[in-house]
Amino acid sequence: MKIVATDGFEFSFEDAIDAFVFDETDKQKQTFHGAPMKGVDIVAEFETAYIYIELKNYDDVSIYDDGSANTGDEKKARDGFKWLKNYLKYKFRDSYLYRHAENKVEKPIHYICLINFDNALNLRMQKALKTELPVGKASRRWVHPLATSCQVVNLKKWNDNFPKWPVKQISTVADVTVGA
Amino acid sequence: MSNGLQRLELKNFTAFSDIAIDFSPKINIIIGENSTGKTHLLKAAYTLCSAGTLSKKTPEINKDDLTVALTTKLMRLFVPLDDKLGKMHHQGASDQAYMKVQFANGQKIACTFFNNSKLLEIVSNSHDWQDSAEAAFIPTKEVLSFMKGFSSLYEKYGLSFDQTYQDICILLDLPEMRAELRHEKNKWAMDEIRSICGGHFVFYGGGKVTFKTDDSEYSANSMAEGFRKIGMLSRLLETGSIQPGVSGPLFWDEPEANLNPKLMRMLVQILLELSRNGQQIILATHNYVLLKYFDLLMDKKKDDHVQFHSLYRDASSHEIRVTTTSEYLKITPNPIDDAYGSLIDQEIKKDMGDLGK
Repeated sequence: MKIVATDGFEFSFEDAIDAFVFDETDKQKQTFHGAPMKGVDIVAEFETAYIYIELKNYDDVSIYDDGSANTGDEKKARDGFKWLKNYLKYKFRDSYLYRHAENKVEKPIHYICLINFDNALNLRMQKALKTELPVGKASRRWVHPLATSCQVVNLKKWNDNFPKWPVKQISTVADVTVGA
Repeated sequence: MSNGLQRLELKNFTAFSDIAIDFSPKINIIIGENSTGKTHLLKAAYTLCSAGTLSKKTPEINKDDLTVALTTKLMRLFVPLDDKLGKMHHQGASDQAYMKVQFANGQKIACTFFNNSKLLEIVSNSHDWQDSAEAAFIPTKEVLSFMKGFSSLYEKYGLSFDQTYQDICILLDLPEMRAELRHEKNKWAMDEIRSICGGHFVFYGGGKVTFKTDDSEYSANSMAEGFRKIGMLSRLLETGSIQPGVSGPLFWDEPEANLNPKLMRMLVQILLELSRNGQQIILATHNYVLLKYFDLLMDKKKDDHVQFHSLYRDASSHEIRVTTTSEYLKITPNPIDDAYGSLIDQEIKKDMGDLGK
């Protein structure tokens, strides 16, 4: 069992080989990130796959109302959606590069974003991210994909779908990694 | 609004064994899976609202006449099996059916019936209904394509439409309100609808309706169904049947039917603006886009208030219950979002197999 706490959430990975705060800022820790690159919040390794996890608690859901944005505040809202999508996209890509340099990209990689939106909005973000990460082999020249899959879920959906990796919100936001 | 609908109580009535809903004076959105009674709830409230309007229009009406009028209204709205009032009694219930509405100013009416009743029994009724305002009910289907002669046909023949269709035809056929008396937001909303539809519906009386642009006139039937739907709202604003601060609650069953997302956004903007000016709105929907637009476009700085009422069948008792919240993310259960949730489940299963399970 690997337990990882970061950004106010605590994950318990029952079957993980390893799991840690990937964008670790504490220089004293062995997992200190230390590169001028973006990083997802957590990486967990399993026998058959790696999981990248990014957490985002977003206060302003109106960023999604970009359907017919045409003036002032509405344009800002449209940019908000794009911003979040790019934020999640580049976090993944930089993390992949970092892991490539670590020689840790030999297994399929699944990217899961835990976002506090409803299912419909998360589905929409997932669709956009799948195209842009991209998921799967984007070119016939590629031998293997960067990301095998991308999921965007809220807390409930996470716990419904991953009973071996339960997550709960905790009061502290300090980063803690405990191996067992 | 001056006198909004505050509370509805239903016991042993149709699908409901015991339910009570407290309404927001502004926007109320009722969601729920099929067969959880959304439309019944709207119609029950609308029926009882009509008692106030009737009493106001006919102050000399006695209890017996009001009882007959209310029973007829209920029967025509619900169209029960074999035209029997008792068929609306909750199946298996031993107590009598009970329906009650209460308004913000304290006015209330309650009535009961049993499974062999021929008439409702009014058990409680406010004496003074002078503050009462007429409610409007927009049914699921648009009526502009068939309203010519509909009302007379409805009176004469046993058409398979409930009375919400006749009622809305009557309201739409009213003459237009003098422009100077119309609320400024009515004018604004009508202009918005006109600009998106590229013209407006013209009502000649007797149910004859056409659609007019700057240089042509068309049959209403040749217009998109979504335009006819939104055209009904525009006409109600034109006649003053919806007049913020003056008119009674607006009930609307599935406004989303045949509306594209662009029209839905405009519709929500209009409904929010009307509610800011005193119009109470009670609608039932299955549609995520409509529901979400209320969440996205409501502005608490403008004192917007949207109350979400979720009807659901209790897993153990199988009775219909309701939860109410003003926070979109706290709507529980939310069958509309759950449908999207099951798509997420499928994607995860397909992409990740047994990982994490």
